[in-house]
Amino acid sequence: MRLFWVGFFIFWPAVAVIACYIAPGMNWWFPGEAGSPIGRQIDDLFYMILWIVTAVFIAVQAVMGYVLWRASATDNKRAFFSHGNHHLEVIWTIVPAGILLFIALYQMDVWAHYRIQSQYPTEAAKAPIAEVTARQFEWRIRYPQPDTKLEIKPQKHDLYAVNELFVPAGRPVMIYLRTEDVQHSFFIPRLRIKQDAVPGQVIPVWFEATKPGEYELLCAELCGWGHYKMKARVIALPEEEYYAMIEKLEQAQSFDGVPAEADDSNADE
Amino acid sequence: MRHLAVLLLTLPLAGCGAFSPPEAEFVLRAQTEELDSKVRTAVAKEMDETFGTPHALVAWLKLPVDYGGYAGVTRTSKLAGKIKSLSVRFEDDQLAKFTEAFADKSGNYSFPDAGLQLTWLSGPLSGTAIPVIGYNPEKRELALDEAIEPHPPADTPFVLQAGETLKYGRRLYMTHCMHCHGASGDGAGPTAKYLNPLPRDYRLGQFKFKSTRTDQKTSREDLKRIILNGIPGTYMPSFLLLKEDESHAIVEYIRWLGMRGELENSVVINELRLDFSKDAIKQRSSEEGSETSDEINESVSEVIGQLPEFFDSYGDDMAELWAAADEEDSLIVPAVARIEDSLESRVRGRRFFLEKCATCHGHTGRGDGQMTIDFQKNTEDPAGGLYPIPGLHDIWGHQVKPRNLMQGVFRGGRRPIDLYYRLYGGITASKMPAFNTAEPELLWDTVNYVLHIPYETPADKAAYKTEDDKYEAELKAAPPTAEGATPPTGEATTTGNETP
Amino acid sequence: MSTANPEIGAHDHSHAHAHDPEDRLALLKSIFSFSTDHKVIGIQFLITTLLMLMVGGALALGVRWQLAFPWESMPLVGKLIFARFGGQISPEYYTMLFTMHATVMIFLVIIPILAGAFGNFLIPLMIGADDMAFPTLNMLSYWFMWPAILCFGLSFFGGGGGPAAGWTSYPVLSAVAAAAPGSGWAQNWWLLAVTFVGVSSMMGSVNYMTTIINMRAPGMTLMRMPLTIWAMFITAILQAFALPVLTAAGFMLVADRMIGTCFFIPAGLIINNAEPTIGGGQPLLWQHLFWFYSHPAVYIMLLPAMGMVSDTLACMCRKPIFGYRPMVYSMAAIAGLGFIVWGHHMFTSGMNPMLGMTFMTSTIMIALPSAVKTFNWIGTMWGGKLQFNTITLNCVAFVTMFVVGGLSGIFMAAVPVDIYIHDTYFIVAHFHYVLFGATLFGVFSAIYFWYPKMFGRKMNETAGKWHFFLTFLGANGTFFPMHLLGVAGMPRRYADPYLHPYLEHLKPMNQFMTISAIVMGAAQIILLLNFFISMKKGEKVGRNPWGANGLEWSAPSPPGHGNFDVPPVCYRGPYEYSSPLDEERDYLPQTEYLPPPEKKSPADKDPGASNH
Repeated sequence: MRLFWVGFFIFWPAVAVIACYIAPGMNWWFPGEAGSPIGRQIDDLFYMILWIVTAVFIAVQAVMGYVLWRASATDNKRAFFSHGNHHLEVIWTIVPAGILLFIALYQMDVWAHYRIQSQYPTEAAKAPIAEVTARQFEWRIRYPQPDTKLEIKPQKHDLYAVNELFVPAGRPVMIYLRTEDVQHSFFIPRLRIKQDAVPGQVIPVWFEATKPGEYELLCAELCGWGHYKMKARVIALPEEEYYAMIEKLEQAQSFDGVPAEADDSNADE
Repeated sequence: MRHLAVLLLTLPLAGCGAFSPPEAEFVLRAQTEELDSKVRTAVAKEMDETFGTPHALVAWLKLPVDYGGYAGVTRTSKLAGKIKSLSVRFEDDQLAKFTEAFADKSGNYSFPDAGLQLTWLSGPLSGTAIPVIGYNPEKRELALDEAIEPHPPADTPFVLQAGETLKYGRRLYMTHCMHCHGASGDGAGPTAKYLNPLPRDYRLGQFKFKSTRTDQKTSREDLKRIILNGIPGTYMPSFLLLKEDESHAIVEYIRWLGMRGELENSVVINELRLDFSKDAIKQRSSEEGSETSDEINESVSEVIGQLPEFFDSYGDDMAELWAAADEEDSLIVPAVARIEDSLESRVRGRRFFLEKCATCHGHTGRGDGQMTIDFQKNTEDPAGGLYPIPGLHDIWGHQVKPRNLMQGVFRGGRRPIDLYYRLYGGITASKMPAFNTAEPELLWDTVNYVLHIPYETPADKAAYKTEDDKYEAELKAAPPTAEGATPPTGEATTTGNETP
Repeated sequence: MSTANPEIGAHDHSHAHAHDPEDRLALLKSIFSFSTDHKVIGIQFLITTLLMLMVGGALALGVRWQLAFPWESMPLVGKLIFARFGGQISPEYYTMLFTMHATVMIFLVIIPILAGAFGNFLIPLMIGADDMAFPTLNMLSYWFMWPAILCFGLSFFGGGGGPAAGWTSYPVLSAVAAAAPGSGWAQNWWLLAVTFVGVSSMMGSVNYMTTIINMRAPGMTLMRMPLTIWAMFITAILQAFALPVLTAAGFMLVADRMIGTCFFIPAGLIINNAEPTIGGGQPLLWQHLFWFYSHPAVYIMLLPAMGMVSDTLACMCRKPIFGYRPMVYSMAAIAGLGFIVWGHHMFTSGMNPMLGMTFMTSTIMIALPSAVKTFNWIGTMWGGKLQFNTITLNCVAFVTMFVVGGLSGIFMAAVPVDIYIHDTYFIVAHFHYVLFGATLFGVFSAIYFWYPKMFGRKMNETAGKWHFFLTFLGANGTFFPMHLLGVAGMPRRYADPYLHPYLEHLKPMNQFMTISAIVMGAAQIILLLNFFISMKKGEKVGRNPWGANGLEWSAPSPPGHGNFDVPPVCYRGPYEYSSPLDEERDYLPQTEYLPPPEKKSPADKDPGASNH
């Protein structure tokens, strides 16, 4: 039994480590490369912690396996009588403290860059591109009319969309996040962005999609029975296409049902 | 064969064989449940035969629903013994669909492991299905899994994967829609009772927000718009990220559910309710000099015998209406393009609004018009009863509030054309009247005014005030003969055949 | 350690009173009585919470079923409630399932099983008191659980299947009845129940503090107290300071719901088409108040298990606990730091980002005392003399699973990383490793260890091993993959994650987890059967079957009213196993007087734990 149980306690950490090792290959890992600079930094931090933690995990489990094996020996020796060791205590207090402090301090920059107001990218902060309003159970989006600024209060010529947020790719953009009813959370997994939409607050959120493409957008804070239904996407487009898309949106929004005979440009008349 | 029975796959049983999962049910309308039990059973049976159950849907080919599948006919009439391949002919559009679904780039066809189901529509094997495991495009031959006998003659119609779209729609519907709209489309799913407004009950075949003329059904395009965009201000969320084929399948399934309920409804209401409800039977037998039980029994069996006929004839009428909704000339197209949004236009629109809309929507558009307090007549009730609470009611019998236009939330969409549709076509189901006899320019003016309500500036208000004063002065000068406000139901169903 | 000390049981057995059949019946009778005896109350708590464990487990299996086979007929429930809809549960029912799973597990299982069951049973016995300081209060603390259970039960019938705002009950979802459809009265019942649990806990914690401070046996100095007692003491303090905040917040929320105050509801929200809210409140306030209690509560749910494992582990290893003082200090540090880390639940909530940094540092630093404790447990095992019986196995499982839970905590303590993994399954994995992996395995070891003291019989060893084996495999099979789900970005509390294409491929993994969870759930039936059958059929044992040192082992098994036949006097620390002072036995009870040694004791390095 001794062999079995010691093996058992060694076996499961081994399985855990192997599972993590093969996870990226099995697609049990991050949903794609981080699509934003901040996302890449977050991933790097994640991996740094992961390495430290894995090393500690393996060391602790291995030592424990060894200790168990030794302690369960079937000889007639008595247990080693000891109340502890002051030096050891000091070592295993100071060393982890150092590592933990290092981890804590090392994280600060990224957080500051992402959330502290004075560090917001100035261009993006000057001209937020849209207001995203979460509601049960969808994302309502309001863009300013082209060539105007986004106001907190809805304007007459604002453009409205639902569940599809167009952003220009390759530069930081800012949105205003708010909610119409309960608390939601604006989560773009592939950009590693998450921010709760708190009732009664308008929260500026900035992010950057490096490459054009589609990014899933979903809700990460329980918002009622249809929480899982808040499926939307962020579509990052090259600058030109982005403006073209907003123009198109404007035209669609002012559509008056009369088929344009000449061309699209005077569909508005 | 009046119906083509198409058996559809049952939901896969997951794990736990010991727990046999219950099956979802189609429920009958309350009016059907009130029928005499024999008649009720007969209607239920007829419904089952015509439409099936959620687990075994039946495709009634009469209805204008895209059930899915690939239709074709046999080519040769080789009658010798058992054969394992069939020469067939597909129409071009069917072949294109079929190719797109199953052929790879080099033109080789590959089917799922279980093969495709081929269902015979007529001939000696009519109604039966066999698995098909391959297709040879050069010889135009389908390879069969097992030999068939007798061999159907040339030009025997068949469908491959019959009912595929409907099945797919059912599956998606059960995942996305069922919790609110219910398995039968009765708007009474498990979550429905907590929602305000209540989810749509499809079974009257009516939807609120459509782009077709007043008396017409909702088009596929309209339903798709609602599914993709959601209805702001309600719990109907946007399902924008559904794929094209997914939204198509859901739309077809919802239309099918709508037709199913509508057919049941029209047969029961028009043919059965008056004479064969439990109350009616009781009355018929109890009243003096009334019918004997034999007579009643006879009439009951007679009406039961007539049921297939009723289903057929009401089905024909209904199918025609639904099919017409997707015709091009059903779409409302404004006779003139939108009038430029200007203060003058809005002032004109406001006058129209005050005359026509304010009784319900209120003078400032807050949805607090006089009718929300005064009106109580039940226009659905032939006896002309009253609703228990005053206010406007929709055809489902729920109280409806006229939209508060201050909020700038437009359930049917916020494009100018969406508002035009509402004005021109009305909202039949909630008894918003159709103003299809008004000048289209004036309707555009009204659209401009309504869209501007949430953004009124002091300047606007001043202009409105001036206009009001002018108007009143004119009134004083020439006392009007016009009557007061029109009740909202009067013109509700005026047909709008005026060509734009 | 029956082989090491075969004579103990036999020897002690003669001392035990020959009160067999009628006494046991009396005990069972007393379980259904308003007894003020701390042991009966402890056993009442234990049995209640074990039954509640099954309820919470069943709810969890419902959650798991939906995640593995979304929208397919749920066994039992599908047929009973949702037959018309093909057995498909409704989304709000799913919300209720996970809300009530968490609620039952936290408020009706973990908190009461630690403080209520073991706190009650062990504190007077271990410090050598004849009962708690306030026996009636103690009785009330148990009987206040029943209104709580009743209210939680009622909340299932409060509309919509039950409260559906998560156990965290964030407003506005929990504050406006229309927002979580159907949670109308359910949420009110829920809040009321939480208040009752709070009252019960508060009575307990006042009692524990008083008892521990005032009623220790002669010679039982603070630094001679077993670590279990230290843990209970610290927990009681934590609870006494944190709980009022939750109770106040709960009342505010009830007021918001029922009399129209707006502590947590801002103005102008349009929910379910009702009139806009008139508010002026702040939803973040609830989060601050709630987590100000609930983060310390996490340690309330962990520290007693740590203490009990320290005791059982030392006894099983026949070795003094490694570093007694560091163990005590680190528990105190955990408790102290526990009060200033609540903000880490709110990193993404829009709290002032500067605070994020402070909370990150304090949160990361709380890993330190946890690490120290882990190292000390391993140090305790090192050079020990152990056998793989059920108690040892559960202790070792506690340590190894706590390591995972502790290490995964570092990820979410780091704010930037937390941005991504917050509210994903990574979090779920983390707290299940701590609360199930650590706490429950600790509790299991404690049940097996103190069961003889409760009933005078041992639990069945074979059944215990099977229970452990299946539970351990099931727990890891269920909870470890959650880390991977979290990294893959699967959010918590989703009734159907596979609507989102990027999560579709995770379904097989979820199915594997569900099967593991079913195994784990089934294993708990073994525990229950073992627990109840052993009351009658278990091997009879004497006062000290494990050869342990604590004062409780000098009392009869089960102890009579007033606990001790001889008032105990404490002469040394509780961990003098394999002491060279006693050449014959490998343990040295706290109550045994040894004449002062003539030579200097070789083991006088740690003055706190040694005798003098």
